[in-house]
Amino acid sequence: MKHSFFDKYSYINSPVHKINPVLKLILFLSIGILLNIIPFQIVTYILIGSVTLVITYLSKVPLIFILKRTLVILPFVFVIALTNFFSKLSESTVLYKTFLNAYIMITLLILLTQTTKFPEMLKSLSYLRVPKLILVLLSFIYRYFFILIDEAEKMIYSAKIRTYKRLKIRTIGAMIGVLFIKTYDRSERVYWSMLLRGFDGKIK
Amino acid sequence: MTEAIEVKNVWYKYPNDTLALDGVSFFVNKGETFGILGPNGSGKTTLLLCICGVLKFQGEIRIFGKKVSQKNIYELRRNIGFVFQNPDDQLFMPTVYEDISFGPRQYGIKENEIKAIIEDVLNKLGIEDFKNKSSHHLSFGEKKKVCIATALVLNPDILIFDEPTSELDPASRRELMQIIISLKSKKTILISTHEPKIAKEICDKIIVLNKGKVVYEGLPHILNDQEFLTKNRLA
Ligand SMILES: Nc1ncnc2c1ncn2[C@@H]1O[C@H](COP(=O)(O)OP(=O)(O)O)[C@@H](O)[C@H]1O
Ligand SMILES: [Mg+2]
Repeated sequence: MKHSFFDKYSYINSPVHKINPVLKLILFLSIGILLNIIPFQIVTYILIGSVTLVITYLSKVPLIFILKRTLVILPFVFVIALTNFFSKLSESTVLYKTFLNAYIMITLLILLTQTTKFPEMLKSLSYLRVPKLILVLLSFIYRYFFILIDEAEKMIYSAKIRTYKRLKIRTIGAMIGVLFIKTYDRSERVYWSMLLRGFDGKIK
Repeated sequence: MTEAIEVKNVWYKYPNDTLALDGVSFFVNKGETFGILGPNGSGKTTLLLCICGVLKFQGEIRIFGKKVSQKNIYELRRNIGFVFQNPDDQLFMPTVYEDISFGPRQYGIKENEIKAIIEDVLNKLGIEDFKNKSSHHLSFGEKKKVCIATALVLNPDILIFDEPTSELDPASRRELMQIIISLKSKKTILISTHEPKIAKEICDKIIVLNKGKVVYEGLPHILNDQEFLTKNRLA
């Protein structure tokens, strides 16, 4: 409802949202593989870049939203590209290639997640024979991510109500600790809920 | 009358040495709606978890005559539906449908059968529209109904509700009470609550817990006794 980190736009309607999620997933993976095997050519990236822009336009997901998201991840991409460059000690194209590949894949991943409802994504992954355990883990992450954000938010509010100053680092540290304990307690109760519904160590 | 649940001298201590249950005994007859009353921290949730064999207690618990043990607990649980106090602890799958089908899948029921059962359960609770929604898109009261669906889907003989009305707004509360009342004639129901009003409204029999001990077992009329309520921190 109010938290929509990974599915903010996945509930709107557009031609891209209507594409079969399995197809989207396969396309996404094929682009990833292709980018890595074909030799570096700037034309390829101009082409893929324009296609991505068109898809974004059709999907009605604001371009600025996607750009902001990619910015967060940019530093990590840069570090990976650099390590790749140094470890291979080769020409600068390795640096460009890794960087551009990673950036494009992340942009596409954001597009994919924003135009596909998460449960549908899981179904597609299951269709592509991804192991059940991984799917269940992903389900849990999806389900409890929102709750974690909720709990963190509540704690920050209640701390802010009680103080007029900015929160001290120490307070924030303590809050993170409490959040950990709460999460641990919750995981125990979720496990009980699974037991009570017939879980015996194996997801069937 | 047959006994659905028999609890004999049950003790439970949490790993941090909190003695949550201190020699609890009582029995619930088949078809009864049975209330477990007590203030916060009196041991209600702990007791319910022991009955389902989730916590390893000392003492003896029997479900329809069968002793709860680690060996038969998987089969015994199939006959028990449990509704947690907090739906966010109970619902862990990405969609309502997936959540409700978790139990039946664990017990090896076929997909097409599961589909039919879920349709039926959702219909009875009036929440067909939720099927493909994610739980975090539902209100608290709506989540609570989904929890009830996950408990009803295997058609168990025993239903357990842990503080079913806590945190509900008056309208959802009335709806929930109506659901429980509609199940009364078909199931053995165990309800924990700290509200005497709820118990008086629907329970045939009650126990009152205080600090892990049973301080009263019998008919709910005792809950009209103001002095008793105050003494046991129920009012
Ligand atoms: N996970 C836990 N670890 C340690 N102590 C606990 C835990 N859960 C509950 N307790 C303690 O056990 C006692 C009974 O708790 P509980 O069964 O939750 O009571 P109620 O459901 O009646 O509010 C309380 O004193 C509580 O603090
Ligand atoms: Mg409780």
